[in-house]
Amino acid sequence: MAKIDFNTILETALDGSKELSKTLFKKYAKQAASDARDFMKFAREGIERAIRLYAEKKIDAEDLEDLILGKKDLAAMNALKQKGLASAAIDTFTNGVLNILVNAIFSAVKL
Amino acid sequence: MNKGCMTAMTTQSVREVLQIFLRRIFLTIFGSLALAGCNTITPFDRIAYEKATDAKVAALTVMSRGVNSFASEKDAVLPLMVRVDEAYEYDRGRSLNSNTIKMWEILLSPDGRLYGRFLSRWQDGKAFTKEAIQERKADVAKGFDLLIALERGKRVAIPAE
Repeated sequence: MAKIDFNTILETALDGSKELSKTLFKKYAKQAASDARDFMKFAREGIERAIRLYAEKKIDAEDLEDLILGKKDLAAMNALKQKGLASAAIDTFTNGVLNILVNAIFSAVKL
Repeated sequence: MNKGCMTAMTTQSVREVLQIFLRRIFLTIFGSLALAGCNTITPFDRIAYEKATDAKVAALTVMSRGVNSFASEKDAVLPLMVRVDEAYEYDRGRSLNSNTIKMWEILLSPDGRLYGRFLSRWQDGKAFTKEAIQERKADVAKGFDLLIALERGKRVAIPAE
């Protein structure tokens, strides 16, 4: 039975993992920054509109309060979304690394 | 070649084939277990995605009726409200789905400031101006968009080989 070279397996797996992390997390960080910018713009414009509508007596004080504090709720939802997407990215990375490792083992034992 | 030598070669081949077979099984089981055991979030679910998008449409339709009293719109909006609840219940039943469930809770809570708050105030007798409805709908739509975006961003499950 041929001897299995574990150093080669680990080196191959490490090289593959480095590439995977470079593309995956770079893409995630870019998307997260863009989402945060979009959200801030949405919240600012919404609060400005609500204040204007209240001044014009088109909404009451309760509406104004809900519309301002509603942005806080949305910020919390946005944070949960980012947390979930980060978990998904980590899962993709972890499973990708395991896939790479399994493939490296298969190649090394030449089945 | 004599008979004894041939028997020895056959035994050797069988042993090699068996070793390869066992190695394959071991690696497949190891790989599958490793892949299955490392998820921290539930994979993408088409039904959950469709239910959430349907719930968004239903919730915004309910809110559009808010310029009139809840009593006068009750028959029309109750089936739509059920569709929103169905989508939430579907997500609530999925494991490793805590972020999505918390997002639903913020959206639906009467103590929050979004859809649940709107329903609570409407059912208490408040009638909204069309401007108030428009602004509240924008916030609720954004909340649903965030929820839908998370579902879309979940990893596609790797089918077992």
